Amino acid sequence: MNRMIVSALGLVLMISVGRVPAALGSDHDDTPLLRTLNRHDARLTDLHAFVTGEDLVLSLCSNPAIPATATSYRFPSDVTFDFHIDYDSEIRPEDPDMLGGTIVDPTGIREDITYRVRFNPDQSPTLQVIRADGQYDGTWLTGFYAGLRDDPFIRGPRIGRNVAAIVLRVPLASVIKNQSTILIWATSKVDTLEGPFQDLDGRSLRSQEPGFLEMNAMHPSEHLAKMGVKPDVIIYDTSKPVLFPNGRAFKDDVVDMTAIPRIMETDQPFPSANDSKFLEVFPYLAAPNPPPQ
Amino acid sequence: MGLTRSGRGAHRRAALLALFVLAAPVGLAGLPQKGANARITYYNTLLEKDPLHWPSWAGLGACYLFKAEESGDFSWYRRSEEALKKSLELQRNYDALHYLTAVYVAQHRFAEAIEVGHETADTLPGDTQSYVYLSDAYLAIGEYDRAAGVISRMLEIDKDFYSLSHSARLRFLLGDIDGAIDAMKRALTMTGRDERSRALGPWGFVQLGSYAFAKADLVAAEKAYRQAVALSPGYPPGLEHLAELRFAQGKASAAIELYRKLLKSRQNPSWQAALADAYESCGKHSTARALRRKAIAAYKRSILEGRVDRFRQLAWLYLNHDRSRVQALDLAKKDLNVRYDVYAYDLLAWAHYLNANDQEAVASIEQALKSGIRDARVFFHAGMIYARSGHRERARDHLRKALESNPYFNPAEAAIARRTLARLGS
Repeated sequence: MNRMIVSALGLVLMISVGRVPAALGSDHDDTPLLRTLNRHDARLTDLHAFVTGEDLVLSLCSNPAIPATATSYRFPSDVTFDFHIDYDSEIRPEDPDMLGGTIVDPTGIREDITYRVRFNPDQSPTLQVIRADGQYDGTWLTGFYAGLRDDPFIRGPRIGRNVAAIVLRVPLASVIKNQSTILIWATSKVDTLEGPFQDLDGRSLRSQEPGFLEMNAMHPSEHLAKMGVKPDVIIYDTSKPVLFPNGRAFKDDVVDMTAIPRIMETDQPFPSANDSKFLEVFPYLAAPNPPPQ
Repeated sequence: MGLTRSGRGAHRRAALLALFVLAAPVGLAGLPQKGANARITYYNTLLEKDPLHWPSWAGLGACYLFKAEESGDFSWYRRSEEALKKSLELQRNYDALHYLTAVYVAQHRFAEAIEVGHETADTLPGDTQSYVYLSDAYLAIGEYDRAAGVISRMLEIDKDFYSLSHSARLRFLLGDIDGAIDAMKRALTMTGRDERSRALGPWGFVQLGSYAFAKADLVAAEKAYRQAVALSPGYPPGLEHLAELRFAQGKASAAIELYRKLLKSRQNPSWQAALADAYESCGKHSTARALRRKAIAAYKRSILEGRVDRFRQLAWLYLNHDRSRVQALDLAKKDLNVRYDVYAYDLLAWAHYLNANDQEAVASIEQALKSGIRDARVFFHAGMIYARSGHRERARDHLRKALESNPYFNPAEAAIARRTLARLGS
């Protein structure tokens, strides 16, 4: 497999756009390994994916344990955050489980494109795109943001809380090959820990249920074979409007939509909109909540 | 009055140890196959690559916290505090806050512990572990209502090892020993749920044993202590409580053997003082005196180094051996400035009593009894104080309670209680 790796050091782009469709899922309470190791910084909380204009926006939130007194965020230098896209798995429109469609061969899920984000000790980011097809048009990234933002998840305990967010904007055309539907997931990997990654964020919600925690350290292609469940990835037909489960919009009240009783019962209060207003422009996530007085 | 030291109440020591032992394995559980030194090397290697790597500073702080507990060397707490504060300077983060709370509790800097503990709890409010050291701090200073509020929140979140074991401790301090035993037993059934609570199993059994001891159930106490040592061979709190139990059973030689074993691992003035009592009961007075001198010197040294937790221990050592009563009273007052729990008032009451300040003794012991605690030694102190201050009925009542609740609390004091009761008549 030919892989082209493009690195961009210190790239910080803030480009404005119009409409703000968005995406939401939640993964705040999984990965007992990272909790035990005191590595909340590598714990992923939300992955969002939506199209705006000609671009695909990918937003990954991490670290559910940032104190409200934090006014900035320093990303750890030993964690790799990857956004993965599979652009050619066959997807059928039937959607009995509200997953956005049916993946015909779940064992065939592969990373056709990986956007890799790391941070140097001086906090400059190292950005790479790894493409299985070797194609690279030179304009793979049109927006990048990393830092403290309001947690976009709509549920009681996260009201007024911040997360460490990484937002990428890439040309939609660069991630679409022969079909408009893509699969998206993200992973985090601490350098010194074993395994390909320690946390995985796709459609989420399910992977933090007690019986499914192992999914977080397992490639999506293995979820069906090893766990007996459909892969934890976002299925997104980019030719259609983003609306959960087709992609993930910030404003989609995913927990209401999926009505998982455990979360519905325990995470009160449960508003149907985020506590902070999303931005109309990149990086779309609301500004961080100020420290309490 | 020539009271011997023995049996200060195993549960009291167990309660104090909770702070330390709870702190110990939590930070290290993630790397179970490695010792603290290996983990320190691991974090230092990461920090060589990136000196601003705040998770490593927090990890290092947790390791130093463990070293402090393991070695009894308080200087590790200072190092831990430095590492954790460095982590927080770089990035305000949960783990550094969590362990800093533990460091403050261990150093008896309770006001700081409560402030940082609240921030820890606010950061991950859905996790019972976030409240562990905060509730320890409230319990330590005798703020039982506030502790109850925190523990009730923990129980709402999850009835796991952390919430149930803290609920047990609160119940004990409020006088519900059976409730404490029940809660601790339930807590111990939860240790299989995760690695961290599993590591705290030995501590849990020591707590359970100390509650059983408090109600004179020596069989259950021994069983629990043995379970602690079986889970963690050589576990110092387990051996210490077994030694105390043996002494209470009148088996001084067995107690001596256990204390000597403990002292081989490290010098600890509390163990030296207990060993001295055991020797004394066997007629080895000069050995006992020499050990006591060592213990007093060690306590004084650590007080000079800033260890405020030693006020209480040195004061009891003085009072139990009828020496330096004025200094003991001074230490008791200082202890009350640090924490104002049941035992601070009990100590102050007894120090006043031995200094013939009867009115002050009554006022202090009534403060101690206010929580409802059912501790034989507190009852004994109350009985003696009331007897001398002319409250005959109350004196009889409390001396009876002391002997009924746990006649093994202290052989010498129990004998005094019986004699005094006889003198007071029925």
